[in-house]
Amino acid sequence: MITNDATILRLKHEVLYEVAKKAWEGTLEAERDEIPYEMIPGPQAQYRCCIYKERELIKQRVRLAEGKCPTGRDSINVVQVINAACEECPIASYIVTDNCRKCMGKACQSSCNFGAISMGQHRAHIDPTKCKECGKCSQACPYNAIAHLERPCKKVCPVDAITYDEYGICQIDEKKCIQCGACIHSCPFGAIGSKTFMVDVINLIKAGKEVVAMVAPATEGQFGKDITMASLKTALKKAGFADMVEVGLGGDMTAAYEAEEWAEAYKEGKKMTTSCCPAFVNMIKQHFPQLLDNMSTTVSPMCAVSRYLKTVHPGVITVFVGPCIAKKSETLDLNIQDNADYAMTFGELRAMLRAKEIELEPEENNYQESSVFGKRFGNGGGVTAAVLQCFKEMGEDINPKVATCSGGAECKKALLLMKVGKLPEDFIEGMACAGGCVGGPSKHKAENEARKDRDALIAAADGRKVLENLKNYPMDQFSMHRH
Amino acid sequence: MKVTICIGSACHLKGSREIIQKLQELVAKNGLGDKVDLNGAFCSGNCVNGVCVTVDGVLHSLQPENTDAFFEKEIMGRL
Repeated sequence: MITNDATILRLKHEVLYEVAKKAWEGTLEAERDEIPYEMIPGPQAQYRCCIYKERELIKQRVRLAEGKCPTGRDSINVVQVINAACEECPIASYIVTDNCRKCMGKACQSSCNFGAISMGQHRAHIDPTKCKECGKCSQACPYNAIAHLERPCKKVCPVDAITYDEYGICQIDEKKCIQCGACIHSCPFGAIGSKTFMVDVINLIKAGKEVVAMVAPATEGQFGKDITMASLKTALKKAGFADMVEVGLGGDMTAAYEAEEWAEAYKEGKKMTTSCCPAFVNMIKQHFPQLLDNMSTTVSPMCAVSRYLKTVHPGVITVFVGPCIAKKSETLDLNIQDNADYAMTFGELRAMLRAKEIELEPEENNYQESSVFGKRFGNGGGVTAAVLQCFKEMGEDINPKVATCSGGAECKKALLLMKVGKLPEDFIEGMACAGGCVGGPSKHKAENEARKDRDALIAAADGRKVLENLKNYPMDQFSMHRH
Repeated sequence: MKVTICIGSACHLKGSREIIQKLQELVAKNGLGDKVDLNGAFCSGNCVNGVCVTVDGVLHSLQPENTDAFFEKEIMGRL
């Protein structure tokens, strides 16, 4: 997978592995301070200016792996800046490059409404104190000589939550941050990460608790064509999980209840949004609170499966595993009862398994708990397809128009339209990651790399229908309503 | 009012889930859903005594048995 942060990914997984290993062995408490020295023995620095900085970075990453803030600061945000790693990228966003020929036309100068452009000795010059970053000069230049430099983290943030302190170090505005995690892998220096529950999950398994893993609908295809749901179940049980359930089953549950809600709203002429993507939910709560009434009250597939498990096995601890960072923030919302106790990423799970020398092994594709529609919840458009299927099964003859939005920018645009009453569609399907959950920040493989294997694995599933599948579950014994 | 309950493994083993469930029930029973915001928190390292619960930033140490009294005093008493 091509990412901005390939070397950093290796380092990050190595830290997770070391922390997981010591947590399994029960030596983390005594030995956590030794990890930076074990990983960076010196005397030559490999990534940064010196080994002391490298060790500080490892130390901050160990803190994140343990669920703490990288520095001593106390903050509830899941997404955190590893400040020692931030390279203080330039903030000034328009600069004139060598392409400038100091031409006669000077379109840049005439396009600037703020008088910020003057002619230097060899090329045009932008006065940063006058520049308003409108970008007109860059569009006007016939030689593409004016480059737009933007911090990679700031560029990908859909809610403009990234700022910087007086030293130029990245800061996250926690009131704005929706925990989508888009910034994490955008940073070429790996200066943003997320807190993990990995050590907590290991400790609870070791304490002999009944811990059940719930794997995301986006999982199939992430580990190649031979790694099936059965493979994951085997590996997770070897690691000490009591069992594993497909969250695609929760996709079926959510679709069935959302279909009822949508059908009612459609008849009343009320527009609604989905509520299964936690970053999209955070976006509504924090940036469009006036639309809360239009958000579906059905719980997410993760919560549905967790409630089902806690109904049939009271006292069970439920752990979600997927490509999502924002799911960690959903588990922290305790206003929702019986949601997942913890959420982990694929990388954190892999580190945890690797530390116990467990590999994902190919296995026959014979374990299925959800319909194909539930499995497709992890793809953009998947929720809509499942809800429409439910309409068909319910005998509802309605065919609403749905704005299927994937990626933060699309979600924001649709919500803005809805807010001013100009959304042409009847419903919004909101997924904060491009392509849906399969494009999540903690994916193991990019969507295009995994697509073929994913399609093949899902094609092998039987053709059970959504409502028919739910007949096998005690849907009358737990609530599918958020509160 | 923001109430934060630690959900780390140490607090979990000391009964944080029981406390959370009790608080959820008490909030619902008293119709305080709009006034009290219940949040989970990662381990803050203060887990020597009991389950870490903060009310508007002030740290308390709780056991499942004293949750009712805590709710009366620190939550109802402050609203």
